[in-house]
Amino acid sequence: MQKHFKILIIEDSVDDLELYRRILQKLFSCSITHFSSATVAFDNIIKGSEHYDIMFLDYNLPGLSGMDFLKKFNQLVGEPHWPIIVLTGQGGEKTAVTFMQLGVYDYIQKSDISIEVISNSVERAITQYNRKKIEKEKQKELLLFAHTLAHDLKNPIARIAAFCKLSFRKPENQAVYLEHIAENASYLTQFIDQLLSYAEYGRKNPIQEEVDLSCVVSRAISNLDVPIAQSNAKIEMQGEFSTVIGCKISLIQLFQNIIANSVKYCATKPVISIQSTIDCNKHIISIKDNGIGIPQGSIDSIFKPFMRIKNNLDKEGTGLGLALVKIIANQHNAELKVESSEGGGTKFDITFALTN
Amino acid sequence: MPSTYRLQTNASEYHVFREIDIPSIRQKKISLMIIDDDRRDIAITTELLSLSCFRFNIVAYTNPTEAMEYLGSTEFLPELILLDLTMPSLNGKLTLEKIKGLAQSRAIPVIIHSSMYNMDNIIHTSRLEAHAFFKKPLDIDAFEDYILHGIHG
Repeated sequence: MQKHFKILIIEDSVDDLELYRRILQKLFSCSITHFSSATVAFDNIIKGSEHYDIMFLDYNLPGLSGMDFLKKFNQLVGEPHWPIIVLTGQGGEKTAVTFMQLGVYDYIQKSDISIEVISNSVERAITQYNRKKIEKEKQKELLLFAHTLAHDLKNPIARIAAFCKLSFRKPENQAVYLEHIAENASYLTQFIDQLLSYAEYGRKNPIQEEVDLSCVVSRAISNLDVPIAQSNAKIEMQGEFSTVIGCKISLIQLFQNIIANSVKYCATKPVISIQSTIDCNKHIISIKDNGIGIPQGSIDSIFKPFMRIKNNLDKEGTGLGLALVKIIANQHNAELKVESSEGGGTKFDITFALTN
Repeated sequence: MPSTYRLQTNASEYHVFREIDIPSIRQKKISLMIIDDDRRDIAITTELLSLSCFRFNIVAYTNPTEAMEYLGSTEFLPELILLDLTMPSLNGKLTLEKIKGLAQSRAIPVIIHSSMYNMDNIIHTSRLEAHAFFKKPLDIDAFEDYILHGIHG
């Protein structure tokens, strides 16, 4: 639990207020703001940008009732709002249900007030609030992901539809159109495969085995033999390599994705230099290329899923390669560093912590 | 292929906001500007436009800022603009605002041409004074019909 609480109390009885103050100050380090009327409290909340960690609300208030205050408050702030604990002199199951429906986290009968009751109530309320906040964030992320995904799938599909139409209307060019259709279809398959990999990486139980990093890098390079041959790329490996604990297949994927980019996004003959250094307890592998580089403004976002950067080569990726690299690096507690400038090549540094 | 064969593609989707009137329509030659950040899509649209009975003189820009510069300085303004929505540097809606905000280009009808065909975008671009919204890939028959007859249907 946090160390200091900002508490708001809306209570018109001076005696009750004193009781709450005494208990709360005994339990937590806190600063208490108090209003004796719900109307005044509400006005202050609207005007100010005060954020409270928890609110105690007396149900029986003169003027604006606790119930009406709650309704107005809900409209203003929305879910999830600060934990609200209602203090009431009147009991009854019915009132309890109404409170909960209005988003109240707990209600305490004044006759039941004690240090223990308040302590438990606050703890529960805050835990619940934190959980709700995390859930809301996750939902937002998922929605954004779905939107981006839908958009990225629509484009190649629209192209396939266009080429189908063209094949029909200009059959003399059919061969060319069919080639484009095949290309887009193949891209879609690759995209979906990578998407699945990306989604699954979080869930799999990571294998823990001893992995020889020089083998991993060599394997990644040999997996890329076709694009390497096609672009006549030159790749050099130098330095001392060691072993780490991790998952061999994932690590091969990590290096493969980085090297694939170096080969792909290059305007001339790709020259890639892989340098390995062991320093204290760190194993640093650098991959430096002579490619088109990454513009300064985009460097921070290259590991985001679906992030692609426009380039003069008109080459497009799935936007998931580096996102996967980041996930795998995180799984292995490896640090990732990128240095790049537009037209000046890119250097990736992957640092593993050695356990021996 | 037998001439009676009908190719079923995805249902053509487009939305007409305003009547269109292109002066040179009778000569069947129209100067058109395409603003789309993807060269492949420009190539496809150009190819689809070649199926039409109109001859299109096409000027294409992948960079909306450069397109705006052209519009601001050229003697040969396009008679029609096809505008994509999703472009990283200057997004489509902003570009639409700029086109309508520039004296030289204000009167040029802009047709949105994008795969992001949804209610939000339709409403938004309609408010920004676009003339119509055609979903990618361009339905060349509907498009021809629209610029020929001026109104939907």
